[in-house]
Amino acid sequence: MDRLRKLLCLSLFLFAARGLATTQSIQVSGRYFIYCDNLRIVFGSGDIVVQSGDVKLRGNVLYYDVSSLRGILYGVAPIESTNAAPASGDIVYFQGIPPRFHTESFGERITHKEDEGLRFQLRKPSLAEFKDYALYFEFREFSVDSRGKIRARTVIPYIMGVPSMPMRHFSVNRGSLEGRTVFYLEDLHYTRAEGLALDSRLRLHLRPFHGDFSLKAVERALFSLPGTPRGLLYSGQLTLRPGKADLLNMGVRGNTGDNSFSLTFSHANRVGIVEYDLSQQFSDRAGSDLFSELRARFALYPFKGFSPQFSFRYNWGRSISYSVSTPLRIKEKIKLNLGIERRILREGFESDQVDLLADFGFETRFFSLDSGFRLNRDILEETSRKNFSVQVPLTPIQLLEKNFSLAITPFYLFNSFPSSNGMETSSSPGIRLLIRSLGLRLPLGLELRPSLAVNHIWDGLREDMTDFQTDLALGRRIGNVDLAAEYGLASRFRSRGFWVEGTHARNLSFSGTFQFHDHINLRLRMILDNDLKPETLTWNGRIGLPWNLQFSSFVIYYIRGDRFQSVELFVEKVFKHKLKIQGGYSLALRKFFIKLLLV
Amino acid sequence: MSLLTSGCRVRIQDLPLLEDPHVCELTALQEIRADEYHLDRKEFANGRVRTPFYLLVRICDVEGAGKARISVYREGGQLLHESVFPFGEPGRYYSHIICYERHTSLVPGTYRVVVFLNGHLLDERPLRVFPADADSS
Repeated sequence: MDRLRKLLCLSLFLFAARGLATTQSIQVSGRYFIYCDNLRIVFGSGDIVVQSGDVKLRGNVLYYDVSSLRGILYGVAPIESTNAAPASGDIVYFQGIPPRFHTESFGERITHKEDEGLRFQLRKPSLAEFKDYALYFEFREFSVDSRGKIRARTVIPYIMGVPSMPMRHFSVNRGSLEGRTVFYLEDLHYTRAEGLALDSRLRLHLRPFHGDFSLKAVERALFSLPGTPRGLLYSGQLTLRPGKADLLNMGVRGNTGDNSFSLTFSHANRVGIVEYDLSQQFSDRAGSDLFSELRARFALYPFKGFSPQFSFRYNWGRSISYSVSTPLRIKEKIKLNLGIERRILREGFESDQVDLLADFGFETRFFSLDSGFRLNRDILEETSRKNFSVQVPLTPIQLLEKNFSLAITPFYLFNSFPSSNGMETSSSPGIRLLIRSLGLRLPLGLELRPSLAVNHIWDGLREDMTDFQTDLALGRRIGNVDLAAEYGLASRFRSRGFWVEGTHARNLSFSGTFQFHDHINLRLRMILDNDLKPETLTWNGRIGLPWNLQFSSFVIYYIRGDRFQSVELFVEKVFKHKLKIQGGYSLALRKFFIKLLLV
Repeated sequence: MSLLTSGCRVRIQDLPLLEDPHVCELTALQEIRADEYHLDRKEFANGRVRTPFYLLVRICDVEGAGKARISVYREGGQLLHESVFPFGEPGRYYSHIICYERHTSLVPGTYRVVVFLNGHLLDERPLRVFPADADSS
């Protein structure tokens, strides 16, 4: 008897759950519907009935946005609803499940009924727009649930515009995938470097495990391409999350081509004023030893602005290092940090070093200061090194409506290090200037964009040198053509012996770019060599042609060698937003080609 | 097709078929030149509609004789303009019918264009009219 009662309760519960599930969707019937996942809009026509809960709407033309669960129905007959007053109109706007609605009638004036706040605009694609996509569906009836899942009846899928096998039932949209386990193909592409590659993805949500994995399968042998015949590249992460917080994270990455993998387990948390994270990494590659490293970090937050930290790293049997730092920040303006770090290495050679460090800095309205002191002690060699640095960047000066900027930074470096002559020291003050302009207007419609960086240092107070980094771009626009000349020079000046040296950081080049809307984009560029003689000519061209064809060209001509270094000329067309056909000539392949690409 | 549909237990008469009239184009054009067989259209630069303009409506899959009506309402709801276009002969089928008219007096603003076929509302779109000196480049 008891068992029978339990069975009855379970049946009632299931029945109630099913009833609840039924009310949480909208059923729509009519003579014709079309849906495309790229647009996420359903268009319908002919004797349409929308039903959900106790609401029943009738009309002739429907636009329904699956993303927002909102629809507009035109040519509306009287609305049936047990909970609302009788309504009718020429248009009904409805939203949600079960739907709230608002009607409008078009006479001498537009008259409203029900909730006027419900009126909205929807995107209304034309039928040609639906049919322009690689995959769309035509069907007779459908239902939508609160996650946007569309179950359709009497469905014809159209693939690349071609009708495929009709189906009685089909889910044309799986709805929101948030929190659901899904595996899907992301991309399929072919290149000479990789061969045929298939990208796929697995999003895993099996409580308490949550993961995201990317998989790439590569095939080269089938196309007689050099390299590993085939392989699988994988990467991703898996999280153990029993409640709201992550208990354990696992990151994985690998390649079957070179038999390599990397696996990292990590855990992070905060308990009161203590924050910690722990991780263990394993990685291996064919022909090398297993790498294993344990890391730990603990931080204390006793009060705002102060957070002492302890870090530890242990590479099994090879090295160990640990450090303590005590960063202190006062009113976000003054920074102070004292720390110690020890590194012990046992990998081929032995080393044991201790660093003591102190950093201090502050900010004011007109300048800031950053200074650091390092004392390094080699415990095995019993030697010490010291260095100290300070730099004072002044607040950049902006002129001519911020078009012209000047940044000045004085600095000072001190080093003390052991040498064969005992301890040596060097003391080097310097100054750094950065002058930059976004563009200066010159006569004849020219525009100059200069940038100058100057770095002057008194090296060890014995010798001084000045480094210059100069970039100049001079341009002018005539109609749809942009003309430009660009040059970059790196140079150095030493006052001792009046020594000047310089190199072309960027060789002088002249370019002309012609752009006409989105249809035509042509660019010709000539680069000169160090002796200011023409060296290379490059050409980029893209021209839109009728029937959505596009002509592209890319040429590099080596003037001094009197030969083409690269020539790519091809015409391409994209079909149904998915399929691209390219045909042309490639000098690298030394042949004419036709390529079929999925985009 | 019948082999395919019977294999999937779908009857041919149940397949989705677009046979009801629907608005397949509603657009505002700068200029229309029409003869008996051709209709040349000139669109506004940047899609910015300015007075005067032509309002063109194309209704697809229409059967028999009837009346198409194009109404222009202010955003506030007042009817501004209404045109009726009788068309067709009984028993004939038209893949589409085209109605267009020239508007010369609409001041810049936002309007609603509503299309009726034989008294039933088929579609409705917003229409924004820009000032005559709006950037046309």
